[in-house]
Amino acid sequence: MPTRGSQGARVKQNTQFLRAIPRAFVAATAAAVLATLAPGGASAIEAGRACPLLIAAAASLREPVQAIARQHQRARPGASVAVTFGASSSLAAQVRAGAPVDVLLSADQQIVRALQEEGLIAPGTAHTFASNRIVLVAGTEVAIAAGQSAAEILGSTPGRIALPGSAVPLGRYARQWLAMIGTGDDRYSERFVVTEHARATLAAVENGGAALAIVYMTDARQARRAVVAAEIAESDQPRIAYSAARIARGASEACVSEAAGFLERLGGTQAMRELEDAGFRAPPPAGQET
Amino acid sequence: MSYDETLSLIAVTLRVATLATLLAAPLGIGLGYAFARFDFRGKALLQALVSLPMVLPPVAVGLGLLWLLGRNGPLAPVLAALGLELVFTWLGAAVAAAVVGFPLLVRSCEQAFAAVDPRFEHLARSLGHGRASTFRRVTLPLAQRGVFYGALLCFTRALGEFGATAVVAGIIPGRTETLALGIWSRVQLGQNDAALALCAASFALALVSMLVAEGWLRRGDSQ
Repeated sequence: MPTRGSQGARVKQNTQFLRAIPRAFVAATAAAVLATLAPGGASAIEAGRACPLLIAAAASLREPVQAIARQHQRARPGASVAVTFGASSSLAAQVRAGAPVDVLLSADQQIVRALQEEGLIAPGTAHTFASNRIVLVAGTEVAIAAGQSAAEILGSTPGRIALPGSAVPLGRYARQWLAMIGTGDDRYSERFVVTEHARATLAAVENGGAALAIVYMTDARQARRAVVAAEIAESDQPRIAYSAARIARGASEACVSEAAGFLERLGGTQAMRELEDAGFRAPPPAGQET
Repeated sequence: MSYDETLSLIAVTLRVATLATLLAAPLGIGLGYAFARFDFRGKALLQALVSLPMVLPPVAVGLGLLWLLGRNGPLAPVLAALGLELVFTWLGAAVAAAVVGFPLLVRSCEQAFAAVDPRFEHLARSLGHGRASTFRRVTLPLAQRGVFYGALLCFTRALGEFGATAVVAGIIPGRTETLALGIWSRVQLGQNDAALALCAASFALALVSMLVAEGWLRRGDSQ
């Protein structure tokens, strides 16, 4: 094996490799730039293009809002509609942090009111559009003695109770109910499994992480490994009002009109039907804000 | 979970990881070289600062970036002037992933450059090459393995990044939802089957990246 010149050979093939690097680098940069310009990629370039509409909706609204968004997309072929779901409180935090959200669909009015006070809601656009009920569910494996009320089941059935944190609308509604039936936070708080949002609460029971959960009726209907353990009487229900609003963020004309169009669609008959099919009810009459 | 959804997640993940590596590379390679070759006042502090994203919880890094790049942060006027919206966009996710992968890149480059015999550089300089030319034709080729591995580490770290990107970019399907974020949100929804499928996709993506990288390196080596 010739050794003379092997050092030179290695340096030679190093420079050959190196000459390939700038080409690869240029190609990769070009690809990244092209990717930036691909649809949905260049959120920075909003002016002069169709608005990349962003809807932030409470987790419990998942199926109906996905359907309404699809209808919106179909009715307006050039539009780009994205929906992000989560706890209404986290979505509001994202809005405060500058997220390019155009429409917020919150599971309560309080969150929208707070954003309004910070000047983040377009004036005159906040309104309620639906209501819901809470219910007590249990995992299918959990043994529940028959004929008990929700309050009785909480006391008699061992195991953990899943509910969201107190900043999340469902978390507040659940704690309101607990206060109403006289138990409040203290008696059962050691058994709480605090979850991220409404759907995660149901998931906790379905995964076996908790025996019981306080969830929305609309979510309970979807459960596969959990059942309604007991209904909660109308008189004990908290006042639940889902609220919609357009976010004021200095968006382009296109986005403002697109968002207004979506809100209009939300109030239309087709959207109302989607919400009803999922189990949502008409918004409660104007009264004390929830 | 549809085929389209999975493709979208993979596309966003790749886009974020690629841009993150490209963003981190110039400064990362430069700093790695500086740490390897020079001693200067505040070097230890700078090295510690560079290591911070590796040591801090990614969520903390994300929160810091959210403040820095957000509408109320110090960079807000600059970003507004450039027309750049970083928070809750895939660009922001790439920046977050770049910050998190940066220390890995710098360390690898530092080691690679430190292993290059300075005499080769002196030789090139004495033959009339300028600094830039020496770096491009002598130093970098000799350090290419380490630099490449640094970039690969940064890329694969960005593929799996969760905490920082979740805070800075949120979870917006089709725009900022990466595989990692997709797995998390599906677990939260109780869609365990979908989450597992995405885990498999993550695994495949990481494996392919590593194999491609190994193959490229080997091709540059043999002959």
